[in-house]
Amino acid sequence: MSQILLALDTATERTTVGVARLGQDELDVLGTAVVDAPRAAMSRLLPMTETLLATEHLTIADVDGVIVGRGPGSFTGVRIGVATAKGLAHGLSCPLWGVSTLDAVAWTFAYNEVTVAVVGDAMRGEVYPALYRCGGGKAERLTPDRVAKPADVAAAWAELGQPLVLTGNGLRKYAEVFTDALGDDAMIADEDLWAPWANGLFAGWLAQLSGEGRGSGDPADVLPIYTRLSDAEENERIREGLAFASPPESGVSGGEPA
Amino acid sequence: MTLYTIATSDEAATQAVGGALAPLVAPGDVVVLTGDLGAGKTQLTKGLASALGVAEPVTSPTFNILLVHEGRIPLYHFDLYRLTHAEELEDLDYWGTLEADGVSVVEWGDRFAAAVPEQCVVVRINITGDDTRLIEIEPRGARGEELAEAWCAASAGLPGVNVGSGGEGQ
Amino acid sequence: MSVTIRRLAETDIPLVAALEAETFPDPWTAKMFVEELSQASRAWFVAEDDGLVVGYGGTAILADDDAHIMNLAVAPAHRSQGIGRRLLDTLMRAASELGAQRVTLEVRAENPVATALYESVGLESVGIRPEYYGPGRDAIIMWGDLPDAERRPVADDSGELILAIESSCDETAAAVMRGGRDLLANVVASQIDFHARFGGVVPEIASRKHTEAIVGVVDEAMEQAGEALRLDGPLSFSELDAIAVTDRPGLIGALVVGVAYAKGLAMATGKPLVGVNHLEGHIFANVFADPAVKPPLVALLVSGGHTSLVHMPEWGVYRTLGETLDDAAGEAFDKVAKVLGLGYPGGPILSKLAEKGDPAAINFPRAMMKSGDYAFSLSGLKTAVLTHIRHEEQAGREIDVPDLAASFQQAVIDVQVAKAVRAVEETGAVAFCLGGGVAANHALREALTAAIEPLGVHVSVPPMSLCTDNAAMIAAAAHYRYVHGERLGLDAEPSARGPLDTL
Repeated sequence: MSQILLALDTATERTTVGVARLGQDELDVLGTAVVDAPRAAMSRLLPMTETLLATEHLTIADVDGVIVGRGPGSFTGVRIGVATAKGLAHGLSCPLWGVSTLDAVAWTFAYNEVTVAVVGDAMRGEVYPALYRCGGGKAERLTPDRVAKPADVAAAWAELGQPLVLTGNGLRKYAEVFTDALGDDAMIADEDLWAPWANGLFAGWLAQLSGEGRGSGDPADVLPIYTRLSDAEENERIREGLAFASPPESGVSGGEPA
Repeated sequence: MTLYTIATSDEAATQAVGGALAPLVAPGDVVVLTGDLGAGKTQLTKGLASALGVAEPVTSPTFNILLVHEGRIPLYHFDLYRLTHAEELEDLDYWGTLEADGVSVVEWGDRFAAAVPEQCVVVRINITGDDTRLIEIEPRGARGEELAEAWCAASAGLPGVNVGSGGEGQ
Repeated sequence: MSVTIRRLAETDIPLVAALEAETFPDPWTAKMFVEELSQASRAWFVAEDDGLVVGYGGTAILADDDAHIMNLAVAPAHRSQGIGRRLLDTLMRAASELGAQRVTLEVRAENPVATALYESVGLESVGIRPEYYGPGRDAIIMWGDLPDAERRPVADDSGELILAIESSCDETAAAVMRGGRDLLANVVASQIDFHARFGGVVPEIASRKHTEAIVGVVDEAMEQAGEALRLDGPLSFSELDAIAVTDRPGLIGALVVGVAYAKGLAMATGKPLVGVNHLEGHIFANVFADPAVKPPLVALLVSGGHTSLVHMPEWGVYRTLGETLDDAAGEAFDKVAKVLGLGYPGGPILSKLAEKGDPAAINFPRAMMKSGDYAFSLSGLKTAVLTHIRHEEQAGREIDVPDLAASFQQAVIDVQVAKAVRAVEETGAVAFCLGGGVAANHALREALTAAIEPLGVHVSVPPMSLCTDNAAMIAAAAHYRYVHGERLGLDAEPSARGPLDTL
């Protein structure tokens, strides 16, 4: 018996939706839709979903499971996607699973024998870097979630001394930082692939099914992926001499030092 | 590092200095605003808002943390007074908002090292007397320098305003 | 003499607590009555004789369809007039409406008058609880069936069932309400033990962790509603008439979670979606808690940091008379408290200290008293207080904190009261409502009540739990909007701003 699955992601400037049929042996993506517009998620996500389902002669009531991109990405964007998906799954009484948005981006290259380097935009001059070994229909994640300065990441990747396919929405701001550091080792992916497609979400999800990253399917358990500053990094910034971290000098007390 | 100073004789002058900044700001600009309670942080922001064409009163965002106003460009008025951990900035989509389509004024922005962006002006308002204030402007990054210099030039000559010469700061 | 029975409102509590203390050796405190008012599956009433509270009673629905009559008392001078019987009838009817089938209570063994009263409505003694009231004082346990004891099906005409979600600022909350009046569930995230529920998968739910909290909060609300309706399990989404969510004003990062979730839920269940203005929610908190509140009314609302004085000439129509120009009252209190070293938020501590101080000790400016409009400006007052403190410190004089607190508080109160009184007089309002955090300040509440009640205007103050962010008030407002056909589409976006006047 086959199941209808819905996948969505709003962690980047792209709002992406897809519907698939999961059969005995395989998953068949029936249709996908994207809108590339910052902050369009709130107004476009559900109308797009409705239209996409209708195109496949389906309604929301036919959906048996929901897959959502958990970020990391824009905090508001991730929230919109995850919260909408929770509402859908909760209302349908069906499972909700989460997939890393970075993984979804990498899985587009699963059939290419390459090392994929995803650069996600983390704001405040930082990126979410992640490396994957791709090929034979798989994208194997090599590095954990973290946040770092693009120059540092580019330098570290240059040390690998191997060609990398660069993708991810962080390239919009920092492509040059990476091409400068990596030179000929850098192959920039088509811009259309920098943000997730539903195919990547489905593929990332399928790969998780057999492993530990599976998740319970309980909508309450799916959380955004946050990548916080560690205490060490916070202290580092204070030591870098941000001038107003000391108490005020004037007579009236008040205000905490940073 | 250049530190600019502007002395104001009363609240109206402080507001006028805020107003002088309005034509100079572009989307993505950030003003980190520090100073003791009652120094005039919200007053300065009122001046900026008014000159940006914001119609409604600009009130203190202490409780709301972020208040949004529509003007020539959006004005994102933050107050980090109530936050206890830098992590809480994430829940506000703080950095996403700073980089978006408006100018951000962040009161008590110096409470968290992580809250001060690389390109901005850090403004400190010092209470020098019952009505008088000394406004110190510390630019960060090239855009910060550009903004600080233009702001001081625009403020010079306003009634009750005395622009100091830019000199070496701490 | 005319005695009316009506629902208990928070303003009744001091009198009720006094009567309780007179009547019972182990009386409930005022605080306990306040707590009761915000619980689901409760009904409390007072008997009022020409405006004076002369009796009261309450019932709670516990597990297994049983209603428990908790307190019932009539003032000595008003006994033997049938008031007790009328209160009891009202309580039993309310218990039936809440889905109870049987009623129980304890009565003092040495109170034959009370025992006879209960027997007259069909209750029977079934046993004794020895020394329930203390040494030598036994209780008689009585039980009876409630009239109309068949289980009411959910889909009868007892009112629309609405699930409301609130996530506009720090709190994530959900409530289920029927007919805009019967609160079946009221849940706030900060009061749920999430660790127990999720067993460590979810980290501690701090403020503004709406994404983490939303599903659990809604589940909890649907469970509570199921219990309140005597169902075999939680209320199911299919049994709702509508879903409602706060969509303005507030913090965008917070609002999006509630709105996105509610839209997903509405699409999945096919239920209509209603958007609610958080400020209108505060006004409806008054309406829900006190059925005597009707338009034309004036409301003093403090939501988040804003104070506004609002005129509601008829249901659902609003005119903001004036609002804060700078600092809200609550913030001004908190900041002055901080400067005095009372910690943050020190507003409540400052208010407490003010009780011991002399409000005339320092003459702080009463800002905007003569301005001829309703705008509030407190930054001048705040500056005056800070300047005063600075001068005293520079002169080496010790500050009398209670006097300072009292004088400052009085300056704030004088302006709030003057404007509220003028608003009521100019609009011809029949009711005056307090909404939001402002209701927490006892001195302000008392001053407003004392100034406005003599004008023949009904003053309403909801229980504290309805003044802090909650979804019950959103459900109450949603009911109004729902029956008037207002809907949110799947493309709806929340807004950080949301002036009431545009509704």
